[in-house]
Amino acid sequence: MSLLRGGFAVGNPTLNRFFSLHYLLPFIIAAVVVLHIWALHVPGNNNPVGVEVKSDRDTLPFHPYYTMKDLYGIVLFAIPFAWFVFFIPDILGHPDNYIMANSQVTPAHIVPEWYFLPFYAILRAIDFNILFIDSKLGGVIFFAGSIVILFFLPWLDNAKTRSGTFRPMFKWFYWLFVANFVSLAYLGAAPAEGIYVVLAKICTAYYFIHFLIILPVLSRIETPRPLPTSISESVLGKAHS
Amino acid sequence: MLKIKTILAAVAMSALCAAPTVAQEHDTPHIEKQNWSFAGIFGTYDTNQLRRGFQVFREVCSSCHSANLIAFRTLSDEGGPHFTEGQVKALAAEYDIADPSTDSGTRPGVAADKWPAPFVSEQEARDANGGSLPPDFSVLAKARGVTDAFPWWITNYFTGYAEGGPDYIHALITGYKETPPEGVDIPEGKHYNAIFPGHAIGMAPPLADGVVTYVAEEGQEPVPETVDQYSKDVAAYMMWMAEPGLVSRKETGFKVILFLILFAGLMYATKRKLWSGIEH
Repeated sequence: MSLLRGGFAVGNPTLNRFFSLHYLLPFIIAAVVVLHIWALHVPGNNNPVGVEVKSDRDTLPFHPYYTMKDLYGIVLFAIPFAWFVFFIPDILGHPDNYIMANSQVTPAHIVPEWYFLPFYAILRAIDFNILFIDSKLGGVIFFAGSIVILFFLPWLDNAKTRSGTFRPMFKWFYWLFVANFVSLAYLGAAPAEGIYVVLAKICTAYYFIHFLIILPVLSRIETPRPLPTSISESVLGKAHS
Repeated sequence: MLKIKTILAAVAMSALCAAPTVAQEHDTPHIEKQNWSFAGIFGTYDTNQLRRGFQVFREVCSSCHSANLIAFRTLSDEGGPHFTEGQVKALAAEYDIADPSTDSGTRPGVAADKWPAPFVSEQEARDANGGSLPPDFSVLAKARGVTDAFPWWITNYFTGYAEGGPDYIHALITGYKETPPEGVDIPEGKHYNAIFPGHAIGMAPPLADGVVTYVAEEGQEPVPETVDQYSKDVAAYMMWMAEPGLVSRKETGFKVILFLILFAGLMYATKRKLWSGIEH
């Protein structure tokens, strides 16, 4: 802790340390891009139906077909994004961000950036000690665990069907998980008092139940719908109906 | 069709999950939203209103509140109060600016100087104001706001509502009550305000009807000299101080979005042409 902060309290050395950590991020991203290109060319890519490529009828060259389609998608996305940038840039910020920083004064409600909210709710939900682990460490374990658990997905979800499109029960639990995640984001921004504390605990528990119980059980008890025989069949079959 | 159904189901479900928590919202005072000339995607500042607001700021607010980031020269900016350069020079010269390089320690201000602060230090400001620190005005209009409960704030995305700061300031200045409601204890030296968090505010009601005399220019209708009008004017002026580039931001945004829509149309046509030979 004191190594990260560079002192007993948050100050200039802390800022320096975090700046230098953040400037490393582009290099890490560059390394992950290399990994991405390797993965694309060696194990190959997946597709929305989750069926292996069987013939030339199943594929198209990336350029010009996908470069063009994706560029169109990017421009389409840029319209609502430009609306956000030019007309309501502060909608996701807080008025507190315009008050000069003062290490002696803590804001009444600490709220992180919006994309951290669900994880912040998980961190706050652990306010009890588990055996010899105190609540402080326990919170950090669950907070980190919420991301680490994603790396274990291949072993947690044993389903033979790759695509969720053909798994009726999985779909329901998927959307339940999304709703739960949105609720966590809401609770992360809410003050830690009253019913919010209880709800945050329920939602946090469900977040982990989804991965640790629902997914392994689902993959055993669910009967998936029949798969299309090839990618081209699924694509063209849909277009004609 | 199936996709739209699942999305709708998801939205309905998340709304259901959020409903009980929304019902628990704190009873924050209701802040009346005002009609601002700079609201919406085509909003611009009203020069006359900014000038009136500047007059209120100069004659009333600035005796306690600083505006450390504001230079005199910005008062002549187009789209802002838009005073002439001569007016700004004359105005700056009325103020004494601390300058250790001169013999007397002060000199008359020039247009490049920042707005002089009423107090030398934070401690002095606190001592003169019963322990409360009058906040700096430079970006105060953006450092205050109106909180809309989840999920209703999302509608602000579509309406482009970003005037929470001026709305709050207007509500605060008009929110004083001489006698606090029963059961509310206001410590000595503090004042009851319906809007201020905790309701005990250190600032005495700063404005009263008629304290600032507006001089209507020829051909203009006289503006009412009421607290309501003063607070609107000064809130608009504070918004301009906090974001003098607001108008050019919105103008650029309009051009950018117009371009993007046209460009997306062209991209779509190209994509269709390219994919027309492919069965999909």
